[in-house]
Amino acid sequence: MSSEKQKVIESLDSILKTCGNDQAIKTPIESCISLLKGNPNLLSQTELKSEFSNIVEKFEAFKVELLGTPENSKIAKLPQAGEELTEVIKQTEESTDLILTCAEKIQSICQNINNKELEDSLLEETTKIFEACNFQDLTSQRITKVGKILTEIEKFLGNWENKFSINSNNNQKASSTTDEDFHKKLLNGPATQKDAPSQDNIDDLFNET
Amino acid sequence: MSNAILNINILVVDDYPTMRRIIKNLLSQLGFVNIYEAGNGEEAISQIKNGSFNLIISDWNMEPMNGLQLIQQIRTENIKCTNDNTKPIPFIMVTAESKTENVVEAKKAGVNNYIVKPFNAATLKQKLESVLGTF
Repeated sequence: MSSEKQKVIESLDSILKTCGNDQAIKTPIESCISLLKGNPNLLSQTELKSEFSNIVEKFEAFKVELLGTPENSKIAKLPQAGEELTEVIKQTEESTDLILTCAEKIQSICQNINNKELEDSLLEETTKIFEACNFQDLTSQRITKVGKILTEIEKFLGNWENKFSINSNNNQKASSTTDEDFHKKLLNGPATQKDAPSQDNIDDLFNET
Repeated sequence: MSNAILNINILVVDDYPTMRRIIKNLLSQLGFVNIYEAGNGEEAISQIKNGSFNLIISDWNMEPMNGLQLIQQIRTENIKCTNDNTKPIPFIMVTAESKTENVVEAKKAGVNNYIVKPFNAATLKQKLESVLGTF
């Protein structure tokens, strides 16, 4: 198998991993992969172009669902998805800041209350507010992760669109260093609720290591 | 907690200002008074080298220098506590990263304890006590 074909298969495999269970996108990608693996010679440009167009069409439909943009929107407008997500992060951060300001104000008012029991109760509630505000950091991380995946998909589709219309485009990104790969592999962000280990699980693991 | 412990200098490192604020507020509620902040590993190193700290509480996922790179540099350069220069500066990782390999790599790098987000005040207090000693 030629190295070029292998690279295409690897790129399609990595996109497949981000598709979840969305068969509308998975099916044409899987079909491309099996065509590439099945043929001893490089797939003809026409056949690959046709499967690729299918993927682009499905992805455009996905974008419409996500952004509500007109169906003939071009891939070049995908960065708007990133902007929308950044806006969500900004708004949750502003709301969280306001919540924290109010909680801090309650804390300082507590210092002037001549009732220990009342003071302790109020401080307990403000502690719960601070703890609950952890959500903002975690939602921001999840949203940033989604934004990165969309950007990667956009880049891949954009590159291959160019490849079909412009020959021998050899602008390959330099391969990552081993150190970069090591750190990249460790940055996965928050786990989903059903997969997230408890602090006790983490403590056990930490103490055993 | 004893007054000596509560007067230590703590550096809180996280690229989210809101998270730094939350940790700072929780530390204040526990009685700590000298709490400083940095927005990423590079800023933290600069503050550590120019200041004096007895505890670092750091996030992992930051750029340009992440929390793991920060602790690796601190341990490589053998940065010590201000109030006891025989002791490497204690470091608690507070992060959403929760896979086994994360905990293993963090411990290998030299963190003293590991808190997974979201966390509560009781966990923070427990880990502080495990690192700073009983007070």
